[in-house]
Amino acid sequence: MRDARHTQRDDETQFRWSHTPQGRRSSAAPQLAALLAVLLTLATGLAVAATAAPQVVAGSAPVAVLALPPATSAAPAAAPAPATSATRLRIPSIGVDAAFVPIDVDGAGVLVPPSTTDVAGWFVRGAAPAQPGPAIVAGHIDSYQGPGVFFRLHEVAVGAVLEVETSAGPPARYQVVSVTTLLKSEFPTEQVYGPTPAPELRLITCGGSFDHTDRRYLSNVIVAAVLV
Amino acid sequence: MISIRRVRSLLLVTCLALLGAGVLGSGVALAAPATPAYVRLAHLSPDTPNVDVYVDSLSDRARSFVVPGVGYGAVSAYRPLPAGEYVISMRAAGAPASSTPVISTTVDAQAGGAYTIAGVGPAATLGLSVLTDRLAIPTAGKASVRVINAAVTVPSADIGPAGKPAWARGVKFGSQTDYVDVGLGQWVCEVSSDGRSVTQLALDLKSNSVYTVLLLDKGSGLQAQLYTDSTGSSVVPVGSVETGFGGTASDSSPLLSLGTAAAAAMLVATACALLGRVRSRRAGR
Repeated sequence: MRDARHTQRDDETQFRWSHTPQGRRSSAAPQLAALLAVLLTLATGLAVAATAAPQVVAGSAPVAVLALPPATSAAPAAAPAPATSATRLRIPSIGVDAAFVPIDVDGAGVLVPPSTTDVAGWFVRGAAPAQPGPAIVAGHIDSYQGPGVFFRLHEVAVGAVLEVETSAGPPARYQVVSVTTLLKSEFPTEQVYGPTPAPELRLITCGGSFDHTDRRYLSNVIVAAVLV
Repeated sequence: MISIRRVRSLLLVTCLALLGAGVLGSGVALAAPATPAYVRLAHLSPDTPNVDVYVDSLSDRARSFVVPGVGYGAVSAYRPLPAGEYVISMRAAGAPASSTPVISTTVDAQAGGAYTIAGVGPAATLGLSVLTDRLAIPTAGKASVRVINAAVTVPSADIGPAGKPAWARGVKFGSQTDYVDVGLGQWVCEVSSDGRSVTQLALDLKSNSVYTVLLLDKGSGLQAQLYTDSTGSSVVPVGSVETGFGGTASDSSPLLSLGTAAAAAMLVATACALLGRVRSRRAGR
């Protein structure tokens, strides 16, 4: 089921992108710039490929080991890695450069987005930056007046790289692997919050049509990314 | 003169060609980003010497790789791979890549799936088992745990919290259980055989997480290890996320837009008809 969803997600992504409006581009310059950007990305990708290819799979250590005799003390399971907090989100390809604020669920268990629309919310019960599991980020598409931090999130391309700056150490870099717009009534809880074997990231905002009666968007835009 | 349009299309063709070359020629996910499949490799056959594990992509040889010198008890980290079919082969450590593998199998790695591929059983009847690792959210308040018995010294193992009913019974050497949902928190997990305690393992199970308990021969005894297969958010939020106030939403409802489009179409049609009439009148003069 999960696999089917993912396939569907990729299809939807292609569908979305094959229908991206081109009308706004009035001169050749932006297109040439975009092509150059593609070339540059490609070159970087190949360079990274060259350095990364010879790597072998690193052995992973079990989180707990206790051999006979049981009297010998071993480290108890899963000493959690020191928590580094996310401080800033950068998605250069869609002009996002925003501070993080912590977000959490309310009493009813619903994820509460940031109270302002110019910051990104980091779900405190999701994965920490670069740690295994899905890190969850929610941000507004707009305010009552105008665009919010994720106004252009639906435009982000599969393959785009984004950076999460942290309170300590280098930024965590993730690469977009899917962009999905789904009705809120079909929110893919399993795909967004479910267990993953490695560090991943989900960016969530609103999209689709706006219900003027209920003053809410009917869909969520969900971007999935993996650590690179 | 070459028009800008032509330069643009030339550039586009060049880019696409390069992009194609990149996709075919490079070995990492960066060149062709898509939802990956996760694969990890394990050597779980106690009397099989070290092996070189070959992972060959059927769709793109450039994505193939080798993990050399894998010994009994080794479990790799998960590696993200482009979804697709892979042939996994084991050769004796140091054997030429052209030699016939000791064993091989094909894996259809699905996007968003996770797999453990392990050499299992005694060397004489070495098998390669492809385990699909669970990535589903466990029942609320539970964690998912599976047991793999790779210890020939314990031909049949019972595993569960000390002094309580076992989570898994009679797990044979060379086999594994399905995942079962068990209580969260700290457990002293006991491995027993024929009612006799063999070893204990301290567990600390987190919510929305999936684990494998691995039983290995260690010296003359048994070692139990806990691996975290995957982990999700410690709390799973309910439903969707309200992340918009509508300040940039168009003011027209879908029905209105349809109406607008229809009106516009009629206007255009009328204008064309009028223009046509004017022209034909002029021509008639």
